[in-house]
Amino acid sequence: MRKILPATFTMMKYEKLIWEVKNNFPLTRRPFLKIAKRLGMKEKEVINALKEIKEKGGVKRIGIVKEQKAYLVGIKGNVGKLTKKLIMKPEVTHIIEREGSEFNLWIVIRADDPKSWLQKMRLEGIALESEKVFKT
Amino acid sequence: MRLEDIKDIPLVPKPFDEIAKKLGTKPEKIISQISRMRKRRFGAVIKPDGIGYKASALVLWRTQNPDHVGKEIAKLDFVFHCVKRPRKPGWEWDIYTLVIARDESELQENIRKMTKIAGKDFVVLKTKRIIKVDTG
Repeated sequence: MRKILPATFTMMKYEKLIWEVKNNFPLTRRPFLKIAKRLGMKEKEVINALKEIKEKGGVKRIGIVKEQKAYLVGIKGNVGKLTKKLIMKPEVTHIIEREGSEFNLWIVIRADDPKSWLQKMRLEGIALESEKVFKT
Repeated sequence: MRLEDIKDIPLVPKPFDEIAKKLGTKPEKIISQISRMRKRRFGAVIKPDGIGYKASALVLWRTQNPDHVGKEIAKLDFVFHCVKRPRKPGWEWDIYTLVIARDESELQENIRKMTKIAGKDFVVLKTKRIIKVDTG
């Protein structure tokens, strides 16, 4: 944790800053000034910290984020084989190995008809559509 | 450049002024258009392990009142995503949350905090390995 913290930053401020820019970004002419005021910091400190966090890969970007109405699909099988099959597919946006259920690989796909997609890919699994997105 | 293309604002005091200049319009107009977007949010895209959050789990909840529960637990900072998905035969969960934490014990503590809102009927699908994440 230490090494990724920008110098002069306390953990609390660092975390608060990240949640502010993710969940509570102010849409005003000077958004970083507003965030700075909320956190008791200077605008320049906020901007510099974000630059540093971005450089280190914690923040990928700040902008418009679309609500993905994608399918979450749980599948079971050999992780290595499944990964080989799926990793280059552009419609597969996430591949994550998880424990705790009968399905060991969880993927997110952008497809209109997940059932026929699964058939085409010769996969067995459970496709779960998103009905309501509370947080993305 | 269209409004949709505002993927990554510059880290400067007046980011929307800069974008407006490129688009040949006024910053106020950009800001009000972004505020009116539907099915979108504006803010940072975070990579949890890039900010020191090494532990995560997909936690699924069964509840009588998914709309209320989803809305309330989405407010917690460590709830990274929160989505309602319809039940399937043999797979009867309502709310899907991606919970992040710095380590294993904090993850357990976060889940414990969630039970106060969401109840005790849940399953934890612990992240074993993140193989692909393409958030665009």
